[in-house]
Amino acid sequence: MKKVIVLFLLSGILLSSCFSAKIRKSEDYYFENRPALETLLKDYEALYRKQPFAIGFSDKRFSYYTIIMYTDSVRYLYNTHMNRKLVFDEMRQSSLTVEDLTGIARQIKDLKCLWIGKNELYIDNRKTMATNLSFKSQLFNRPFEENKYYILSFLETRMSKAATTRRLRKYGYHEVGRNVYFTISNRFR
Amino acid sequence: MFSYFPGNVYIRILFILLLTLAAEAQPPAQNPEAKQRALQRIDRAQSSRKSEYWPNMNPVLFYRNLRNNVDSPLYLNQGKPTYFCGYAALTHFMLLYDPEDYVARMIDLYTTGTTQVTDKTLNSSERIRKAAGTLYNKGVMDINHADQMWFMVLSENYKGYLNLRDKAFDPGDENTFWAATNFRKFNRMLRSLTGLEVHARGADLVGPVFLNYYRFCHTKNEEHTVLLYLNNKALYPNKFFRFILPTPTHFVVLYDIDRADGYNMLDYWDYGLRTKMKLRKRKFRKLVYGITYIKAK
Repeated sequence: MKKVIVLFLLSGILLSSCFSAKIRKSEDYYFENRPALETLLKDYEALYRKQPFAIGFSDKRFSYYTIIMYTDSVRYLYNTHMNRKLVFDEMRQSSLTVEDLTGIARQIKDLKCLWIGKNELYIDNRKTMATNLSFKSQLFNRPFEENKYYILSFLETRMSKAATTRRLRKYGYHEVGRNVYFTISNRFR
Repeated sequence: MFSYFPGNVYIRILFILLLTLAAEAQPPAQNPEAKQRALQRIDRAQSSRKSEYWPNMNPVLFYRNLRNNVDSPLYLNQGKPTYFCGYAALTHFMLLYDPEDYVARMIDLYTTGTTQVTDKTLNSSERIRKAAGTLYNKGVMDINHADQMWFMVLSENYKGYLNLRDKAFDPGDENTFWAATNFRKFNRMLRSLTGLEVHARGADLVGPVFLNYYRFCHTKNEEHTVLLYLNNKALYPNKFFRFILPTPTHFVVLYDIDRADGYNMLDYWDYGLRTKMKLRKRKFRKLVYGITYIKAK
């Protein structure tokens, strides 16, 4: 009897992970969380000017951080899963303080943001920097499907709107606001 | 969250770290004369005329890319999310040790659509001639037309078992197994392109079993250039995937490997920058599948 109950429960869990009623993230997600997202972006920009870096989580429970610090020729990779104390001690060699990192870490944790970092985008051979924020997408926990990530992209340079939007649509980006786009990707960084 | 920082222990660790930073190894340097000759060769060949073989390549972007690669091999970047990492790693090696030969091959390809390497002729099909210069949303590779051409020519001319199902290029194939490189193919390409004696340990699915990876890489790195075939998903660990296949996915050029505080300190080249990270000893063993070493340093 016990075996039947366990089997029943297991198949229930499996089915519930395959079919979910949650709403897919789209442009609404940006508008619903706009104040928190804009604060995060502003704080990240301020810290980035002190020391270029990217930060995110390496687990689904949002416990371990991965941090990448950039100089003009070297990227330093850290993960708190390895040795939390050692990692944050090494961080102190950079221009960022523990308070800086604590603040940004708390913000991305509250927003359940998996990763925040900058990427280069080339539109008509012109470089523009974009700050990308990655989140779990609706399909994230389905066992037999590839993970998908919802990525909000904030472009730094203002470009001619029509050309930019047309080109970015080709790249798979959808416009949600002035210089703000979202895309669904199978990579979170 | 990160609010515990007792003084003494950290000051000591900081001091040790500063000492290790001061004594850190420098990345491999190019032979200045060979580099100069390579740059002169680019100057002689440079022209604003479009190649009749590569209709979508911009000559200004081609020569600028070529010059930047020779000038700063560190910034060579295969772009994301392509499968070009194997070609990028061996090109980085070529740029460090024989930039002149690299430039000669590139200019040949650009002006004639074909070039001769040590054991074969590299040709380019109509499909990749049309595609070079049109790849987009790959970061800096969008404007690196020389890299687009070179990586596609290598993909087309060297095939391994990973490429058996998809041999002809179609748009988007730069992100698929059409461009993938297995360990044997990688070593074959290195021999073919450089003519050097290439040694390798490991395989596609299992790394060398009876080998102390750290000691081996550390010793070989003194007189050889070491290239590693490893699992990139383990290199950037995350638990977002339910199943992470224990297979190698990435090639890097090892600059230095050392041990401190019980960790392996890895210093390697990939994606247009030098990367430094600390790894647990067991983790290093788990992520490496192949070690290639070449007596050229």
